[in-house]
Amino acid sequence: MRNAPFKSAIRNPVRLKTGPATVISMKVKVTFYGGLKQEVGSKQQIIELPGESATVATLAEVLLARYPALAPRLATVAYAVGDTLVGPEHLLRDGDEAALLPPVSGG
Amino acid sequence: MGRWITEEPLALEPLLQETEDPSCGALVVFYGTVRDHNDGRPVRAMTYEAHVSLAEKVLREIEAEVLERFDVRQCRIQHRVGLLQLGEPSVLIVVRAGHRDAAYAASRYAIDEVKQRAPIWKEEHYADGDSRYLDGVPLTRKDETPA
Repeated sequence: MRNAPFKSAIRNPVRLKTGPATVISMKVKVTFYGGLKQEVGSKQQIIELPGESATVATLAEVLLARYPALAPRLATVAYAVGDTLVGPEHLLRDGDEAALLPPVSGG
Repeated sequence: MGRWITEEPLALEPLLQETEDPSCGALVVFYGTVRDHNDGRPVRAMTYEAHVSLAEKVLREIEAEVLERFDVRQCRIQHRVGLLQLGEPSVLIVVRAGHRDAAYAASRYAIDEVKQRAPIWKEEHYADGDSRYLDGVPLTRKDETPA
């Protein structure tokens, strides 16, 4: 009987990984366009976010905490996932490619 | 890179061939070119950067809008990215219409929309060695009212 929990863990090893101590997170590849890459120091970063999905607003908070220099720029930044502009409520998934687009100056 | 965004120097001839249309009596060509000064500072070159897949989509949409809103038969828009020297074209717009009024208006609409909506950025390189990204127009989504 004393061995029973141990055996059960061997039989169902996956269950051990889903215990309360496990933190689920996701990764998003973020590209910074225009002058934003100067604030961040690089054009692309892999950003880890908590949970299985997170909103663009959460991504913005995480970026702000990591790169305070972005603060004055975020009010005028637009966000894209793939080739679509998205709003702050958009849900990001693991592996998404997001982009921060500052005010544009083409032509 | 593709039909709308390119790293190659912009070439008018292929677009003229592509849009050839004997029903048109007007052809308006607009080139935007790299200017040698801005805000009183001498400029020596310009780097253009684009979010390529989104920019291609936006330029394609603007072409379609031009055909829908104006009495024109053909519209093609190309924008170049990379390092451009003084005088080099950064954007090329070809419009063909039955008559000149529509062609001029459509060409004007197209370049104005490109400047407002295409995810493209320019970094000016100055004669003194300094460089700077220009202030621009914040992008808005279609379902969103501009701030």
